[in-house]
Amino acid sequence: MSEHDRRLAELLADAVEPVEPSYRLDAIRASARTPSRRLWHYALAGTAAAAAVVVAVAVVGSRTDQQPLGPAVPEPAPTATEPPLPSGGTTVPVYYVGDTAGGPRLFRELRRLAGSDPLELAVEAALGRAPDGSGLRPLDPDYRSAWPAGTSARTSFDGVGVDGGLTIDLGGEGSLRERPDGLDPEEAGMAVEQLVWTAQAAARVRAPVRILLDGRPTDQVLGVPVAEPLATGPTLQVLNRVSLTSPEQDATVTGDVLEVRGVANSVEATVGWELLRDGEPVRTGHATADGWMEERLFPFATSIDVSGLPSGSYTLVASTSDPSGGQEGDGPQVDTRDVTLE
Amino acid sequence: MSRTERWGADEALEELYAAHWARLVRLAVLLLHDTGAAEEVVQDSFVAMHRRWRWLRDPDKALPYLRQAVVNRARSRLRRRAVEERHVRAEAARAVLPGVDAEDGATATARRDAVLGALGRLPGRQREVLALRYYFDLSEAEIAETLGISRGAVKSHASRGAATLREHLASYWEDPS
Repeated sequence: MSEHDRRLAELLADAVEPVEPSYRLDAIRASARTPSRRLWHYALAGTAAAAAVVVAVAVVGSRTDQQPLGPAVPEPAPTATEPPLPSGGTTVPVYYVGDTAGGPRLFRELRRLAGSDPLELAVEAALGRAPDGSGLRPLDPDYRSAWPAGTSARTSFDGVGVDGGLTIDLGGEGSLRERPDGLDPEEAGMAVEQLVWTAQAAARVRAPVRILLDGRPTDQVLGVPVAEPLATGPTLQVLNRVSLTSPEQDATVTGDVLEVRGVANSVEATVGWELLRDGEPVRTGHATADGWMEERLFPFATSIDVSGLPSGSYTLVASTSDPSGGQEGDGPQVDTRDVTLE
Repeated sequence: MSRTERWGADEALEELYAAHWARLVRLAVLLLHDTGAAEEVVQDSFVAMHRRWRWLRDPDKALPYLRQAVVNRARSRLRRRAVEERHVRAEAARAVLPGVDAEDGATATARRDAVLGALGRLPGRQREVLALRYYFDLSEAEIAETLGISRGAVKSHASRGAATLREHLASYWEDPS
């Protein structure tokens, strides 16, 4: 360590030296041993609500109940406007869990991965695995996979169009059937949602998803009932209401314009955005999404003029509007990306 | 290791709390400049660690997990605060650092405020890298792992951040007290 480094270390240690953390072990023990407060609230509200919201996995009935692709699709699958495939890779949508003021929600990230089978690549990525079997994290450090490390899957679609089913055959280091003692049921529900949303988006079909464990049917996985094929849970209770598609995390932007695209469901279709430099907004504005009064996320796009801004690190924040000003509900939902302007 | 491998989630929580609670809270104060918020973030991280113990199983994995959880939660918290402050136009209540005694005097208080203030004005990544490197003594590889970025990125954030701090804190640089 240089003299310079030593002095910096001294200054940082000195800055927090007077901090005397209070005693919180009992409070931690208490929260660790009981389900989250949100969960408790839902449990009180009745098992029906708990099943609908906490587990948030709806069961698809017989095949004749299947909905064709159409306006009812909660979120459009990637279209031709998505980034082009680079040579030697495949771009896939992957749903990850992130925290919001209202609890965990899913966020979508587009990943370019080596390989050719988008379905297999996307589901493995949602489980936290790269094509070579090593660990793979979301690009955005705010997101995570809710699955235990070491879980893998074989995923297939047996059919044409909507007439068919998706099958995800899971395997892992331990048993994946029971919910581990320490796993929050809400997080377990989101783990299953991750697979259903990711598989349907990667296959571009709203087909029911059957989950197997080690090649066999199972009544549950991580304690979540999966005996019947699954549909996605209620969109606005499972997905974060705004998800940025581009720029991607840690992108480098050249030129005078930052192109922003994403999906959102926000009051009056208004998606606010801010470009922050050192935590302070240097550009602000809003984009208008294609709609908002339906149970799905709508595309939005905007171009931010970044000419005249010094090069360096910035954070783009997109947020849903909150007409109550934080007085009702959990306030605005946000998605963020760190970018470098050159 | 033979003893620790048999830890249950509750024992692990107790041991890790005893060993790391205070230092993790101070790390979070460097990131958040707010003692109350720092305690909440670290508390939530311990609860999450307890929930995941079955998968972590060993303290060598639990501490990196805790560090990562604290940094990620602090980052989310800052972003939410930045957004809420402007949406709600309400200044987030920031706990003042505990007072210093008379001998310590105004100089030390001013210096501490200056250091936390200067850290707070850095881009998030630089602040995280500096706190992990200079306060937590982590290696470049450990920081890269904690933040999920490359070692090259760690190096560049560290050198840019350190240079900016040195500039902003020039008046405190030579004072060895």
